[in-house]
Amino acid sequence: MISISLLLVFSTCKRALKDVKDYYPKVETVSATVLGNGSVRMTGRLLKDGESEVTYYGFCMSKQPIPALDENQISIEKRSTNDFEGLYKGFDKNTKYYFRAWANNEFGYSFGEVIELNSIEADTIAPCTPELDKVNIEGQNIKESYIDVYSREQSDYWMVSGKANSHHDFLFFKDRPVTGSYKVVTSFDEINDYTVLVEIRKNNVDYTLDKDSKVYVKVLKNDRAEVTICKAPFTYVGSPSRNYLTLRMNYYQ
Amino acid sequence: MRYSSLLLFLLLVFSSQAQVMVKVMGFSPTGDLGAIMKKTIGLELGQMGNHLDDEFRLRYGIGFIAMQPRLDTFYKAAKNSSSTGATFTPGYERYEKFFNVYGFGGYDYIRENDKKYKIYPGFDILGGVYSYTLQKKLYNSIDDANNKDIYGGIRLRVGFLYEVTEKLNVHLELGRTYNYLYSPEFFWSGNEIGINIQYYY
Repeated sequence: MISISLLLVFSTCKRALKDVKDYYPKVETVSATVLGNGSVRMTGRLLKDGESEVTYYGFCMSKQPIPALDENQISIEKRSTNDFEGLYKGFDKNTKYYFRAWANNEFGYSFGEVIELNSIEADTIAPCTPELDKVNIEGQNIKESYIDVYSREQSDYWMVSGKANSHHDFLFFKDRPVTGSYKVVTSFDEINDYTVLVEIRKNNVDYTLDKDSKVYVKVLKNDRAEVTICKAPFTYVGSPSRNYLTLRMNYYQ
Repeated sequence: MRYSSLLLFLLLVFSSQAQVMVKVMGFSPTGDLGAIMKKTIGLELGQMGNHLDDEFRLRYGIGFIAMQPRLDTFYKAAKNSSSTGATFTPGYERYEKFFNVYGFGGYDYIRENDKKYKIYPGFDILGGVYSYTLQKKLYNSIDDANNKDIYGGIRLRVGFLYEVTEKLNVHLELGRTYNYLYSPEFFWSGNEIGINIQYYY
């Protein structure tokens, strides 16, 4: 009887945690990286769930040194991974911004360390000065006007298309592009907020701009933008030969 | 005045029984309550039968436990769901003056032997009143409320008895309580370790 009592007294005993902070999630603000297009890619890591499972994590951003949970909040539902990413766009010039990661569980929420960034600006200047309507294809400079240039939302992407006499260019962004540089990828699966897929159609054959090339976007007034691709190697499908392209196109929304 | 009258009444009741117990105990909240409240000291006053008269020893009395929160402010977030996902609004909870007064009654089973030391199991049925002030901010509205209500529960224990003299016994008791609050509905539990002095006169 005594042993049964001892068992009852000490079993089902969920003792209080020694440190009250252990009830809460532990989260780390891993990095805040300024991308070429002037956006900031945040990465965070959930180190511990705490005493109950974390269901959401994310980031917050402010011009004040300690961003509050609801300031420019990015909220991400937790899946299998403890690493998470977010993207911030649209910063004022010459302004300091503060970022931090957060995570929430049943007991409450907690923050990672604050990361500050000063004067977040896009890498807006293309490292070449191509002449408008002049296209260098396969080593030949051709004066070639775009017959039709437009952009539109298409399927899951934002497409910029320019049609010239001898070729047709398609640029696929995830969303409507903002001023800055975008890294080129070669498959649709890789397109995200800071990458672009470029297809060049010439004589009914598709070329894809090589990976890690850059496309520069400069958003002008009146909803007009300029897209520049310079000295961009592209690969002819089925052939190892490489060519170079320099083009610049203006498009209107 | 009201409390002193109650105390006087209880002393008279216990005096008539001439078997008084006073228990001082350390109370450690566990489970969800353990996340909010610190360990604390509790006090019990009551009547306890003589184990020499009956193997099933009756005890009853009153107890008091006051608790302090582990943090000044507990930060909580309110979830706002929409078709585009969920956002979280910051909020908080602040507890003050958490205490409870309870009555208890139960039995211990003590098998008599010729030693001065004895070990025994026991249980109590508990019923009491709790009170706490909770300031809560969620969804941009601040709610400042004094919560009072009744609760009930059970306590299991294992005790070690030492017969100091014929009239004086000292007990070391390890116990666990399980309680149910009616409003807001909440189960809470705690571990106890107490020194209990029993005196016959």
